[in-house]
Amino acid sequence: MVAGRTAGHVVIDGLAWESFVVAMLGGAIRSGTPVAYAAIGETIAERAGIINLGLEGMMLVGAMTAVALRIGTGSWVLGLFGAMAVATVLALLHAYLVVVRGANQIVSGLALTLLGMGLSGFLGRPFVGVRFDGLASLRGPSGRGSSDWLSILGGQDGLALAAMFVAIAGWFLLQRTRFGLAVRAVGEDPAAAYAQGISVVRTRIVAVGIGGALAGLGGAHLSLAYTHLWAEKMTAGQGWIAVGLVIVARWNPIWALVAAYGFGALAILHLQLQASGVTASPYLLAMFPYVAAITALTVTTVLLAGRGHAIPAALAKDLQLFKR
Amino acid sequence: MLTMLNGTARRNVRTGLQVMASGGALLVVLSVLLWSVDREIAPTLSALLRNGFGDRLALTETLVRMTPLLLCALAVAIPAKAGLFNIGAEGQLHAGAIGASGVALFASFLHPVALLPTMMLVAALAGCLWGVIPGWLRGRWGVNEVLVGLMLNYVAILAVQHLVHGPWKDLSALGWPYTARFAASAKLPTLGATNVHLGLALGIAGCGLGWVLLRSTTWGVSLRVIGQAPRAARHLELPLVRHIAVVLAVGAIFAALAGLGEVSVVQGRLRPGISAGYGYSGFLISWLVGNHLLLLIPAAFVVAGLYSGADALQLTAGLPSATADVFVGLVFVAALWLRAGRQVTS
Amino acid sequence: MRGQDYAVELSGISKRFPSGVVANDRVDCRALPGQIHAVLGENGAGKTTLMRILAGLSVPDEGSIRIGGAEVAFRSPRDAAAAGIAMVHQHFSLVPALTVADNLALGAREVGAVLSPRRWRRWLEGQAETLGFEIRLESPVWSLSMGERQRVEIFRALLRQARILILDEPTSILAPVEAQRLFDRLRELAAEGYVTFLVTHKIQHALGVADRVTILRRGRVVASETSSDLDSVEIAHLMVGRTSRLTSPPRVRHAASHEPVLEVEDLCVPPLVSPFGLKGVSLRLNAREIVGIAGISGHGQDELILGVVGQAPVVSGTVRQRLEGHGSAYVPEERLGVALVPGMSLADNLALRNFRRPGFSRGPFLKRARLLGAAREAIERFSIAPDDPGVPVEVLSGGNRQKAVLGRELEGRPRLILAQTPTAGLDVATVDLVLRELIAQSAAGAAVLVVSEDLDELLSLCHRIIVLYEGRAMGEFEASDENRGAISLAMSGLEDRREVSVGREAC
Repeated sequence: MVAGRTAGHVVIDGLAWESFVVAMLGGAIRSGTPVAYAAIGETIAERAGIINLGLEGMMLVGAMTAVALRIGTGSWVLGLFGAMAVATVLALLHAYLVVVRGANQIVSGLALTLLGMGLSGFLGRPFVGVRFDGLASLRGPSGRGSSDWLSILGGQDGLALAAMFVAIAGWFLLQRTRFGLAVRAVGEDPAAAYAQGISVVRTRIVAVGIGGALAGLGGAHLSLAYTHLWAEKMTAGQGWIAVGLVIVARWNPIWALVAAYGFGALAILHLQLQASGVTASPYLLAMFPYVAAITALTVTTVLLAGRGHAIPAALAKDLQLFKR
Repeated sequence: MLTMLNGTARRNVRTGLQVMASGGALLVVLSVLLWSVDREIAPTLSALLRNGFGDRLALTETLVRMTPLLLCALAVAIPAKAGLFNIGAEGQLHAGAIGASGVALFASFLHPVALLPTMMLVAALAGCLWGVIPGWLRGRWGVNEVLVGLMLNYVAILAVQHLVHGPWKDLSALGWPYTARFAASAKLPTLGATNVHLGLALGIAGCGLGWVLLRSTTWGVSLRVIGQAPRAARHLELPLVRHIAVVLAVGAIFAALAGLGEVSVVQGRLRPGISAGYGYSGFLISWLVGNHLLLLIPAAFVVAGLYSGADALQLTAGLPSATADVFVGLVFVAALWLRAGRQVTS
Repeated sequence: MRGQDYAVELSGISKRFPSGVVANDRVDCRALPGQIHAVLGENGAGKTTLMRILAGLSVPDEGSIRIGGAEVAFRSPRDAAAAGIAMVHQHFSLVPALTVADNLALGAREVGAVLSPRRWRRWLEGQAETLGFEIRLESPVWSLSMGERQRVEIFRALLRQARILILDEPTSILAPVEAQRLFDRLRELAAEGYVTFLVTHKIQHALGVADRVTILRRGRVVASETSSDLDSVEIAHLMVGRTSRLTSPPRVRHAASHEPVLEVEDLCVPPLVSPFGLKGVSLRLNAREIVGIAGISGHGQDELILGVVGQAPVVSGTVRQRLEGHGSAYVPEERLGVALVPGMSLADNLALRNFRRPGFSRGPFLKRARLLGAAREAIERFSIAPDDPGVPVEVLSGGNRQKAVLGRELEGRPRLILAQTPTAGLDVATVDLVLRELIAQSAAGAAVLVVSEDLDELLSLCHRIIVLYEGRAMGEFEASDENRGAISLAMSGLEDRREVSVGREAC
């Protein structure tokens, strides 16, 4: 049973409760992986003080490129790398416009989403609906697997599992490397960082580039592993959601992963519940993270007024479009 | 030869050359893209223009598409006069749609004369609420209004999803997440049998009226001072909070009207996907014309025409509708490149 | 002295900012190894700009820098750091949200690509002990006091193995005891061969610790001597000197009245612009009187004016304005952006005080004709050029902008006029016009408060002069030439050759 693609008959009773949970967890991880990659990447970029609203476009070009290369060359490795490369190019364009030429971050991100949507739709036309073998899960081709707890992880493909390592790697990058320290400094007080010899421009460009690469990888997972096809605008707003999740996760890569899985759970909960006749609204539930994020943002802003930071300070300053 | 001209003229010439250069680059990129799918640029572009603007049918479609774009652009441009960027137009649009749908579904017993104004009022109130929350949080506690606005967009879109999948779902709609069709009296007045509705007129009137009011009223002057020199505004003791609140509310109302128009006329019901990112496109359009109220009208018209022309291209030339996205996206990237011309030294 | 003997040699440094201000004008400055070199001057004299050039934060338009005899060209702080130069800034370069340890790791060569916090902390603790510093490594910087932050900055400079230290106004936020501790440390370092540049406006500190003193005024070097060859009075005179561009500035001739218009009592304002704030200043201003606030800029003048106009949070004290129904006029320091709105036309800007008044608007609608008429009157009265009311105000020159501000503020017989550096950056003719206008307004009954660094202008313009130093009123003087010496001294915090101790007590 592959949660999220077929709604099997899951009856809520004592025994089947366990298989429901297993299905949910497994499905949450699988469906939340694309947005997890994007959110982890965006966390790094925003910690450096740059918001990238072009994630949607970058995920889409990643998804399309991965499919195109997989179909064209048969290699999914090439597909993954191609996805990362193309998405990174778009991200570097955003970085160049914003960091080097001082363009408005929001406008640039939106424009690149448009461009990404357009390019992926345009160039991806020949591949729409073409079937291919997707990334296999660890336990072999997905079929009606067992409902034991091992299958939560075992039923995932390599890319989904890699996401967990990427989240930890992201945390490690930010907290335990020289580059990560530079990123954090640049996102809080770029003037001070510059005075200490850090190249603000270079750090930001690299951070945004990493964000783009991971977004591309997320898109590749969506098309190669999750759905095994390409369709125009198939991310359906997950790039935007990634930006929101970064805030919910309070700019921490590991929480971003958790939040992404939460989102993934909500995405498939609807189907699961519908099949079992429960009419709780997953959309109402899905609102909670955002409302909670707004609340958390407000609370931390109030508590830390003047002293600490609720969001990376340089990000706040750039986005503070009305100067009091 | 350039040295013969004075400073300003030289700058204008340079800008002109830059515009031409990026226009040229645009054409080159497009040509390459089209070549890769075996199309030529000239016939494609002319087909695009014809399908967008060429005949009555095309124009009608363009005008229909222009309406939410213009209204959302207005929703961004008006607060921009006071120095505020309304990134929440998308959420305000959905809030307005919900408000209007609520009235249409549950107050359809009202006399037709009263129904539409009620829908408009409730939509406006809903939009106002959505628009004022980030502003209020910013004013009261200093919370970053852009992030709050962005997240409220998601909440509004999810609210629509919730309603159409749940409490407001039309049970006879065979499982599709739609509400019931609205009564005929819940439809805004339209131009003949087309879908061009009152919203367009309201948008154009809004632009014109706004432009006039900005120049000839005390409010307009105050707004411009607040937007351009907040410190001067403070020392002239202009009532900042009142002006900001009003300008945010007015902007939100226009976005809400866009939502109302979509559910009342274009869709005839509430369903997911009523907005193709109009809130964000409106943001871009407003930015493109420097938030100039009168220029919003032609800009929205052109962008709408490109989109509806590209849609038709799908049928006639077999090109994906994404062509318009590419084109518009490239235009904005080029504009960003030019607008932010100077090198920023860190 | 031969060139090779100098550790640092700045020659012919010139720097001009896009606004037109010449910050440094062919400045020469040299330091020997083991020397503590004080760079004195008022705010805006160019000291910080010169030191930022040395620290690699700014690139000079002209001139050369030699370190240890070899010519260098710095394009970024990193280049300067490589040459062994470290700057401790007036506004610190520590990232507030990060811990001290993290801040010290930024840009440190000892740190590899992967950080190991424990090893780093141990190394830092060792260094701190060797160099004699007491520092809380794990605290976030925002929780540190100013003195602690400065210690961290100096510690960092030493960690970077800088041999040339630049301290920018280091004592402005230290208590006297802490300042003394700093000076002892500087002497220890000098004995080990470190070169220290001390940028300061405090004459007594400079004389107390420095070996050599260079004095800058308006971007030029006016003196460079061994500290033992100078005394504080000479230095005060050199720092301030003859300032006015007018050979004979307009002089006030009428007498002041005794009707109070402005009463300020023990006003305390927290630091907003200057590091000092306002610490209990009282003053009284009568009708037909012109009172000048003298002092080096950044010693509380902004806080005083903002407190009087009601735009500053007042900690204690009172401000009472007795306007008797008339208005007040405010001519701020910044013209474009504070007094004038850049994107609007001349006419619109001239209308900003009036446009909400009944005569000039009917309900929400502006009476364009009336406003235009008033604009033309102001243009004519002050000879504003170009005289087209529709011209955007950004196009106007500095002098015409100031005329526009005056034209707007002074129309309608205000009873209280507050002017902040009204003649700064203006051409001679406009300076004359501005001063004459202020005198005329005063003669007609207004009470005028003028903040200025230009002592000569104040001496001829005002009836009385109050000197602000580090947020306190140093004294009230009659504005006559005999008092010039005493006023100059007061501006440098000195009284009868003795520095008045201004402690760090709260208000």
